[in-house]
Parts: sequence; C-alpha cells; structure tokens
Amino acid sequence: MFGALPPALFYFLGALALPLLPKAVRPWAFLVPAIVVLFHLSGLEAGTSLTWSFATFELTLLRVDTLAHVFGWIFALVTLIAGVYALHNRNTGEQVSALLYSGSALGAVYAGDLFTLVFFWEIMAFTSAYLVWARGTKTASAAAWRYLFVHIFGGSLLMAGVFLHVGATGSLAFEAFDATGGGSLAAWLVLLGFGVNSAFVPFHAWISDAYPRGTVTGSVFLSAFTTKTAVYTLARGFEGWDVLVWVGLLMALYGVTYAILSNDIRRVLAYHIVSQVGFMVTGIGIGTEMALNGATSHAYTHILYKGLLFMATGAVLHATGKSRMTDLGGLYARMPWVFWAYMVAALSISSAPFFSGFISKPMTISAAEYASTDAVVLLLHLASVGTFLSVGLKLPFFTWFGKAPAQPLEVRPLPWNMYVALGVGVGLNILLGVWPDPLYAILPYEVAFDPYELKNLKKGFQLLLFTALAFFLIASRLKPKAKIQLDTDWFYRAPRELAWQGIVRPVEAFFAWGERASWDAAAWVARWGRDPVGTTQALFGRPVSVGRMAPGETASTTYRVSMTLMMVVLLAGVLFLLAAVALGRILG
Amino acid sequence: MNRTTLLRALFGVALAGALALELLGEKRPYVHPWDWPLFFAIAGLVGCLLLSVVAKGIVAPVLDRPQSFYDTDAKEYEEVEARFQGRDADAGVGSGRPPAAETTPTPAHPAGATPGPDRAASGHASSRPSSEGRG
Repeated sequence: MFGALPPALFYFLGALALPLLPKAVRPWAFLVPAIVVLFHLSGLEAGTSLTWSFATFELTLLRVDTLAHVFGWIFALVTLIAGVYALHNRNTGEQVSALLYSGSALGAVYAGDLFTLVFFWEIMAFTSAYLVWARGTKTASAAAWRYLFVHIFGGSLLMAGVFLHVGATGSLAFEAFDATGGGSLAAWLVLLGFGVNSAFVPFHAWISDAYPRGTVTGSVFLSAFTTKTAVYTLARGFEGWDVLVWVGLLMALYGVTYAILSNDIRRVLAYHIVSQVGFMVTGIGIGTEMALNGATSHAYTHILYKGLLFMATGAVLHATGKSRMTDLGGLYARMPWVFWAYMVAALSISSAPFFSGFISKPMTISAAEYASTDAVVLLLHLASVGTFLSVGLKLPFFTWFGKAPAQPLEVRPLPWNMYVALGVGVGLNILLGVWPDPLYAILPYEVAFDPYELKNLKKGFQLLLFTALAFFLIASRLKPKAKIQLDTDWFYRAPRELAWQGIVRPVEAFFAWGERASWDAAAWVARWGRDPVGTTQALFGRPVSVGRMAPGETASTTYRVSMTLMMVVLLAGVLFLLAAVALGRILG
Repeated sequence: MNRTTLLRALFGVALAGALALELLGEKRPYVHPWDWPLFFAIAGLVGCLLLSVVAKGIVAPVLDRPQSFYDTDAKEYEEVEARFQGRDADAGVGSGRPPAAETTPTPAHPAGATPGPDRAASGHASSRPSSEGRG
C-alpha cells in the first residue's frame, strides 16, 4: 500500500503524533497505525526489501518473506485488538510505549541484518519495561528494573555474539547460523541472547516476575511480543539445532509445574508462556518442515489465545482489584461473560478440538512423532496435560466457582471496549480453530497436517476429558495456597542486600568522599582568596609575619588577592594546558 | 434431576464418547506407546495425577515461601487494594483514569483510630501521590 516501507515506521510515527493530540482522542488514534499497518502488510509481497547504506555496511531495514510475514500479521492484529481493549486507558505514556513496543517487535521480525535486529531488540526492552512501570506501584517499579536488567544482559550477549560473528564472517546478514562442529562461540552467544528473550530456563524468571505486575492493558501487549519475536529469531537462525529440543522440553514442563502451584492468576499465565514457548522451541530444534510450520503456527495461535487469557484475567483484576485465587472465588454469577471468554482461550491453549491451539500444537507434536524420540513425544503430551490442568481447570475452577471469600467481592462494571476486545478474541480463536486454512496458507512450508483426522480428535478428546476426570477427583488437594514459589530470580533478588552492602555502598561512599573533598577544596580556595594570610596561618597552625600595618588594617584586608588576578592566573593555567596538549600533538 | 447430576451425566457421556472413538478408524500397528488403545485416556489420567504429585508433593514443600518472602509481593497487593478501595483502582491496574478524590472520607477508620494491618483497605489511596500510574 505504501511501497517498501518498514511497517514499524507507522507505529513510530503514531507514537510521535499521539502526545500532540487531545487526550480524549489518543486511545482512538492509537488504533490508526494498527489499521494502517494491516493494510500495508496486505500489500507487502515476499521478496520485497529495503536497504540503507550506513557507514561501511548495507543495512536491510525490510526483508519480507513467509516466515517474517506470519509474525508480522499476528503482531499487527494483536496490536489492534489490544488497542481496543485499552480504549478506556488515558495513560499517554503507556499508549506511546505500547506503540513503540509493537513497532520495534515488527521492526525486529522484518530486519534483514543483525544490526537492525539489535537496534529494535533494545527498543523493545525499554518500551516493554515501561508497561510494567506504568502500574505505578513500588513493587512493579522494582520488577520493571529487574526486567530491564535481565534484558540488558540478554542484549549484551546478543551484541557480543553479533560483533564476533561480523568479525569472523564480515557479514551482517541475519541468516541461519551454522551448527556444524557444535557451532561457533558467536553463534552460541547469539543463541543465548535470543534465549533470554525466549525465556529459556533458567533465564525465564523475568516473565513470572514482571508480567503479573504489568498494567491490565500493558500485560496484553507484553504477552504477545517479546517471547514471540525471540521465537521468530530462533526459527530464522537456529532451526534444527538439536539442543533446542531439550531446552524446549525443559521449558514446557518447568512452566506447567510452576503454573500448577502459582496463586496469582496472571502469574499462572506467565508460567504458561514459558511452557508454550517451550513447544515452539522444541519444534524449531526438531527442524523439519512440519515442525517449523508447527512452531510458527503455534506462535500465531499462542498470541491470539494468550492475549485473550490476559484480557480475561485483566478484566477480573480491573473489576475486583484482586488477582490471587485465594482471594477470588464464586465470580461466575457476577462475571459470566468473562468466564466464557476465558474458557475459549483456556480450551485453545489446551489444544481442545475446534479451538485455535488445536490446529497448531498437535502439528508440533506430530512432527516430533515423525522426527524425534518417543521420550520427546511423551513429555510433550505430559506438558499438554499440565497446561489443561492449570489453565483450563484449576484457574477457572478456583476463580469463578471456588468458595467465595468471606467478605463479598466488590465487582465493578467493565468498560464496553473490554467486552468488545474479548468478543473479537473469542471469535478469532474459534474461527481459526474450525477454519485453519487462512493460517496454513501463510506458513513457511506447505502444510501436510490435518488436525481433524480421527487420530488427532481421539488424542484431543481423550487427553483433555480424562485430565478433567483426574482433576475433579483430586480438586480439593490442588486448592491454591497463599504462597509464592522460589524461582531462579531468587539468585539475583536474595543477594540484593549483600550486593548493596558489598558493592553499592563502598562505591557510593567513595564518590561521596570525592564529592565532599572537592567541595572542601573549593571552599578552602575561596577562603584563601578572601584571606590568604589567615588561611595559610590556619593551615600551618602558626602566625605568618606580614610586616607593618596601618591602624584598622588586618592581614586579611591588606593581603587579599584581587579577583582579577585570580582570573588571570586561572586563564593562564588553562592556556598553558592547551598549549602543552597542542605541543604534544605537534611533536607526537 | 438437579443441575449437578445433569452435568455429571453429561461429563460421563463425554468420557464414554471419547473412549468410543477407539472403535472407529483403522487399527494401526503398535509401534509407539501412543499407538496403544486408550493410551491418551490413560495419559490424561495418569499425567494429571503425576504432575499434581510432583508439583504439590515434591516441588511445593521445597520451594513454597510465604507471600511476604521478598517483603514486596504482599506490600504490592496491599497497595493495589488500597487504591481499588479508594475508587482509584485503575491507578493500581493501569487504566490511568482521573485520580480519586484526595479527600475521600474513610468511615471504617474514624479519626484517631490506629491504622492496623487492614489500613490498606480503608481508602488510604489519598496518602499516595495521585500521579502514580498515569502519564
């Protein structure tokens, strides 16, 4: 529609223009770039590119191919839906951050070179952190800082890998990294950089730490972009790397185990991002066409259903002010529509037949059946059981049907736009579940998988229904507890006091001493200029002979140095220094 | 038949229907574990119990900590709840509505009452900077 322009540009322009508009118009104006980008993407054909010469490098600001396009489409779509969900929001900072965040995610997936990728990667880190900060609580602020530090760490690994890669190959192009010989150090650093954003265990704790603390609307954006951009980069750069099969499996099982224990409903969902991204990472590690199609399509559906899950749980938080299952319960009578919207998303993430996850996750598992070991397949099925157990059964059971708290919950009405966004999310998750063809048509490879084959239906129904049976038998034992679970963030949160006392305080004390010393020196020089004799006397602790003085005179008044003289001396000193430097350069 | 009984009956029918799917389609050679009859029914049942036992029986006793462990989680909840009770919920949950009235009376705590642990629920949003949570 607009030629070969990077889609990110429209979001960035929107972010620039937004604060200039009247406040009441801004939420609506937010939707404009989202709609424009959807039109723009429809006109961008595979093979389109835009290059720009920067220093000695040729940067590819836009590279359109099928892989990038799958992510581009869903990013643009979810920005629009989340924008509708946030129409009641008047926080301009949040709106601008969300636009920049969406734009940088789009910029990253359409980046054709590593420099452009790193540029957008870093913008994503800062703009997404703001969506946590905007919650406005001290804890959210602390979590946002931790989030930012972890992402700066990941970005540094990525940058180091890129430098080494460019040094070794002379190329900035973002293509698949060579796995032969175990891969180069540069490739491993880049992989770890991507891994931090993909939530590889043990680098995953930023998700469960920060996402539950984001704003109601901000967490919807957060759930969509960072991890899925990382999945895209893994699919682009590390397809078929065997290590990813096991990394993904660990993520899938680790996430569901913690989700079963978590009490905060948004933390349950955060752990399920780790788990579901684990499925995608495993698919990328398997590396066959079917597995890559599975991983890519699962990223697409995941963004849709995870957005809906965060919208529904955000609606509960908005209406009740509470997000812990131990404080919720019996909400069905008060929020039935939100419950049904939530269940559509929960059935989708559980890959129940006729819901969106059913067309993608089983594709990854089928790919594992064809091209991986039995153990991998069985563990993926186990993770699927855990997904339905925690998101599809436990969370809704104890939130909407569990025992209501002794003090009745106050439930505030939801703004109409939240219902609209939930409705759109519900519609898309069901539509895609029953009609997968539009998604299958844009996947990187031709799809050789039919989700509605009898064997897949049998798998889906039996696995979920018998998981439900087991849950209802032991539901009382799975009752949520008012506890948190230690996770790997403990390693950088617990030693905080130690680090403060051991590192920050000594450094702070050193700089404080330096500051005091410089002020004292300046004060002494000022005193000396006013009273050279008295100050010198004080310095040596004995009187200084100053000769005869007229009546009424003192040593201070007689021997005061004029301001003019001091300025001349200072100026001469500076000129001397400059001359010395110039002379050094000439001679050197 | 009351509603619970009806729902249980429907659930039973659904379980039977899922099992009946085994009777349909071609028989496949048992190459992999998942080719066995009723594999996925058993996997669902056993997998759910296994994960529950691992999570609740092994992981939780080792890693469970009180919500105040980091001394911040509990405070945050109080903070958000206070703002919700003060009709400024969105400041805590991020919609950026206009600030709540700074002088909202707090009938639950008449003047002179000692603010206790439930201070958070008594509309003390007014003691926080009203600009928090909005841009």
